[in-house]
Amino acid sequence: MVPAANDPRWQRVLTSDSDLSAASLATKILVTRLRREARSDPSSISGKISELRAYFEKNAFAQADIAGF
Amino acid sequence: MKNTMMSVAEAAEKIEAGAVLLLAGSEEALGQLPKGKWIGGTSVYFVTETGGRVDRENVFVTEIERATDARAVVYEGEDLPNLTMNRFDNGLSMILIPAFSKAHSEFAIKGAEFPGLFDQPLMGWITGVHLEEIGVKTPKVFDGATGQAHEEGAAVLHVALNDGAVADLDILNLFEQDVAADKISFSEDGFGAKTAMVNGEEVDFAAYLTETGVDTQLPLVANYAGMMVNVSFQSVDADKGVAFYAPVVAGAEYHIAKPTGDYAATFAARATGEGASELSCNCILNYLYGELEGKKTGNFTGPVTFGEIAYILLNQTMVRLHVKAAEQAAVA
Repeated sequence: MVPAANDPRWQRVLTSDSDLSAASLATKILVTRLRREARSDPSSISGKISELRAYFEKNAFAQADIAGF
Repeated sequence: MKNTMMSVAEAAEKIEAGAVLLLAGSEEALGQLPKGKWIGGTSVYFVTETGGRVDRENVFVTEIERATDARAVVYEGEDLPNLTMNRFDNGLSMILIPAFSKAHSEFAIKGAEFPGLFDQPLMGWITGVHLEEIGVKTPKVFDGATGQAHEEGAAVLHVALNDGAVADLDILNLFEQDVAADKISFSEDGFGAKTAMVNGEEVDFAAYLTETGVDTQLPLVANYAGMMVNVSFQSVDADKGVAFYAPVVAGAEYHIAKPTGDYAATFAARATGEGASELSCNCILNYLYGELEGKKTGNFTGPVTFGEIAYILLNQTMVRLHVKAAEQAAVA
């Protein structure tokens, strides 16, 4: 189950530098790219959250990574 | 998966039997192979069961035994961002790109934005030539479906896995950030830089590296949410600036790496798992700087490459792929 878009975990993971060592490679790389893009354009955060949610909705293998957010 | 160094004749037999294969070898060896379900990339450096060596005659063959089907596609130019299209529902993709090609640059800089990039494991490497033949021969990729060699584009093998099989893609990077060392960042993405921000101050980067005596056999390292990602130095020139083997990313925070000590020994101590049944590739710089000729890297064997790919381009890193039954993955 992927948390709703307004769940604070999404904003938190994309605006922090938290270590996601337990997550899959794919999640770490994608989150890093989205963090960088959100930092350079903070107004884009909603779009980045949508993109991250879409990745988890499409990829069941990665959903366990959300527990680390 | 089975990993074996074998003769061209033996590899041809495997191809003709319908095996799904990823191959590495010299251009001359790969050019002799029949059409089939394979892609290949040029390399003459290998780490084998008996240690690292140069081999121009034989080919390194990885057989994906759990594959039920495969399709080879060459993507180039405007088609490159579509490289995840044509995948099977349950599977993975192998990718080979010639060093110094436009596809190499484009994948390095834009790859993380390609649609669907993270939906299935994408593993592969940048193909090369013997170091003494750079500028004389060009790195190539081979499309096994047509038998054609390409200097441009990405050769991708989309592989369908049998029900319940899962692919586990991971890296082993011995390099860690020296966080006590200077913080380095760049204002633009790219394979080269004339200036950098060092601890918040803009410097001439080549001059900085020379004056501080940085060991450029050590890579720059960025921390991607816990994954260490290297950028290796290619050259440092007072006039032309600094060149890298992968692009630096604007805004990322880099530190020079801590030394690893004896590379082969450190590798053996840190490598875990059944390397013999995993596909792996390791960087030519690790082979050279780590003096891997004649030395083994635990149970891991594979081609030595001009860049490694685990979704994105990596440097001085070993990439490993294991295809296993889902119940094995659950137990692990």
